[in-house]
Amino acid sequence: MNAVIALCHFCEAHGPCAIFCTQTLRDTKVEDLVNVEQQQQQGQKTCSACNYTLGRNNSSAIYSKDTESGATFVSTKVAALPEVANLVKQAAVRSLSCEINTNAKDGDGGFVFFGDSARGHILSHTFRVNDLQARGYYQLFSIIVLMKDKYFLLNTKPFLAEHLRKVSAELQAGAQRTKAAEELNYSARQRRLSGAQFLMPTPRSLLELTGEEHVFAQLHSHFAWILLAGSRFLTEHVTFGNLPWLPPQSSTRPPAQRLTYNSSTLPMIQMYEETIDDPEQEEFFSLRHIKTVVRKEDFATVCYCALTGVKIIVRGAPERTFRFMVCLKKLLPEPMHNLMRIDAQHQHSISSEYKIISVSNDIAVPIASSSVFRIDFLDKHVNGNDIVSVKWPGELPRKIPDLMVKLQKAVQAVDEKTFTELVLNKQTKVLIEEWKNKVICLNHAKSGSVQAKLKKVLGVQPQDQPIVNYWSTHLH
Amino acid sequence: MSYEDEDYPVDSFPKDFGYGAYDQDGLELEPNASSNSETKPRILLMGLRRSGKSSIQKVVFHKMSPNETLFLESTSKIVKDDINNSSFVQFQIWDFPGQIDFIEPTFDSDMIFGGCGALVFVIDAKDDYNEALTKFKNTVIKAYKVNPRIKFEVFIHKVDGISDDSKMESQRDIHQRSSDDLSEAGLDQIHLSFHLTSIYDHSIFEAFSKVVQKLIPQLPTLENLLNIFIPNSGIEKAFLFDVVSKIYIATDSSPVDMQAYELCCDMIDMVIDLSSIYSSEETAFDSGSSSLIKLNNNTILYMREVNKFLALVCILREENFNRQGVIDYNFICFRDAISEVFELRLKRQKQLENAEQDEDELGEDQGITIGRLNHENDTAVVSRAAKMT
Repeated sequence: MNAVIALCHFCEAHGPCAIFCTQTLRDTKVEDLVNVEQQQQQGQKTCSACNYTLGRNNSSAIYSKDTESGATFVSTKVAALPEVANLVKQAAVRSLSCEINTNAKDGDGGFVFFGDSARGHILSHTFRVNDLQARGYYQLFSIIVLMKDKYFLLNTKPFLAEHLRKVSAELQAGAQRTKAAEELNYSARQRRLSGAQFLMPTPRSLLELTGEEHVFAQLHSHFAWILLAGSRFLTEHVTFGNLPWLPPQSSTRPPAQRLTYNSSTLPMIQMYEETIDDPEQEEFFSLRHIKTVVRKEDFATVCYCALTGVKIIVRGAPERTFRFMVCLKKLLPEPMHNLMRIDAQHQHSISSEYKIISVSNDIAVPIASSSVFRIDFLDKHVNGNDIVSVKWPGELPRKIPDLMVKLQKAVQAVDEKTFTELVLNKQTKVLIEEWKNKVICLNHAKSGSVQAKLKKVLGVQPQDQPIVNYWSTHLH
Repeated sequence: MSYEDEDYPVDSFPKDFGYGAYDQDGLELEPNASSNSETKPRILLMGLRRSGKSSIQKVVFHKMSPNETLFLESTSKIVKDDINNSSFVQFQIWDFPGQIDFIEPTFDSDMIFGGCGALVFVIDAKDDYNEALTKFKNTVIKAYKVNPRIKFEVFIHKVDGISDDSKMESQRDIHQRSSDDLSEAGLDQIHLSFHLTSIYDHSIFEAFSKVVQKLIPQLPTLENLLNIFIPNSGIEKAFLFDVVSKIYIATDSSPVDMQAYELCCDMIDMVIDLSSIYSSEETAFDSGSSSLIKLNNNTILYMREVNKFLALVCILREENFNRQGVIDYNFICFRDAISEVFELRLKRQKQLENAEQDEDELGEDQGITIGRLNHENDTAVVSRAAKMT
């Protein structure tokens, strides 16, 4: 994300200033900047509150590099480039001493957007940090995100707001602990009234306030993560799109928006991604998982509907339905994975072309019919197992397709411990690939007579026809 | 994208704050702000950090108890406070954060000093004031360049607990050095007023009264009215008070005795407190409010309501109170005269709203009318009073 994130502070002695700026560097050489910084640092005032210290570490800047994108995130007191530094300086003054959100509701920790094309667009988050030794018993801080691109900033605002709030809450919680500990020793109010001069000549630094030795290192990692994730937030959001009129798209991952909302702590790799990207893990979600979730007899109907294109709607909390969906995905060949929509955000998705959809509880879904298969994850857990209700008024044909028979046999074999789930997964893949190729092959046949001959050769029986019909429209 | 809160327009400094040409993509943020703030004089509270600016503002205009000011937080932004107590006392107070140097070119000095009536510079007397004087000099030079009509007031603050000698000494020193600084800069013509103030006694109210009085164009008229009223009623001293802030907006021309002023302040406090017990906060002071206190030194304090926001407090000898009828009658004449001045001002404000462009000419016209009215009233009061005696 092409932005500068800065922590600003209204210093009791020196007024508002930025004390910690994190920015992304791509082409600029880090070595060139180090010299600039050192020069800048020499001219700085030595006020503990206006400067940051890195605990025992004496170096003046923190760097971290994202090997994937080649971006370097660098944190310094003053932004590395003089022009940027000037913008940050002005933005800091404004964020702390005029553009303060004073709504009663979120008076503390509100967000304000201001700026223009010349001075950059700024999202400012002002918050108070407890300090028993400060006037008014708190110090004023703000985190600003400065960007040249107004619309990018406004579009990523929900993401930024959520995470900046977490950062500020973390600092506030730290200060709260310090305050509680100090309050045990004396009552500040009493002392103040008694006239004792206990105000420090210089205000305390954030490090002292939070009692966290590595608070600035933590801030660096938070800010760097926000810069990295912020760029991903918007691109993924746009690509996936929640617009119902867009054609179904690849959902190898759930939408980015959900991704970010589910992370409970900052810089944390998303839970979903872990489960997807970790091959070890995936092995253990085989078709058998479906069987354990639904009842034995329902397993056949689920498989049948998934294979023949009856719309399946899975409803429940995203984190519960996700594994189930991943397993269902195994029943479709890869080119057809775009017919799946994991964690659809919008009701329109249900009526669109998607065949297998998972939605959260707050989205209304149509009632079950012969063309709609519904699986609802109920709220209750029994022994850690999900309770689901399966509704489908349709019936299985007397003779079920060959592919399904083989799949059922394979699952059965795992149940009997003839082979492991790893093998089951491979077997499933092989079977699906086999039938995918059969269908593609049939698609190439022009006339009906040729097709009939081909079917004979490929061993496609009449009972397999529903699968062929469904798949052939999507495989080219 | 305007994050304004209607209840608190103070915070949106769209044009007033002035970081240069600030135009948020053509958004008109405060359409009414300009006309309002132009008619009201503005008082700026400046000075170094922790010199007591916010405390002064809170104590004088928000009735905060002086002890509570210990717990005030530091001011991080310009706090604008509208004082709208009466038709005479109408101004804005801007409380500046002392940490920010508003003389810097990044701030729009025209916006800050342009519509400003008085600049109050607060200097902490208990502190080393070298730095404050440097800042004061720079501020005055800048402000004078932008707006030569600004009145400069220096509050030598926190003088409680300082001996009288050293008070005088520091006032003399500050006076001397700031005058030297200004004449060095070639600005001898600037007049500086100095006040020794403290929030723990009434000095701050008195000092602020003097600041506010300079911003009231009708002050000579009001003083004149009081000067006529007093001898004709046998009163020694009279103050016209703004009830809410306890600053006096006019008094007669006899010298102000600090103790007399304190007595009158306390009397207003007492009356309001007492009547608040039996009525709501809003109706504590109304047209029936009056009070009479006899002191044991043959002195009487007499308070009468003038209008919703103003009260007249008189100090007189007990023997002169025999003729209370005359005093009451004269008071009614005085009150009528005040309300006429008051009406004129209202009329003028309305005219201003109708035709803002002609502001200057109108102002001059009004000056003449007030003068004339003044004369009429003079004779009226004198003659009536004469009849009664």
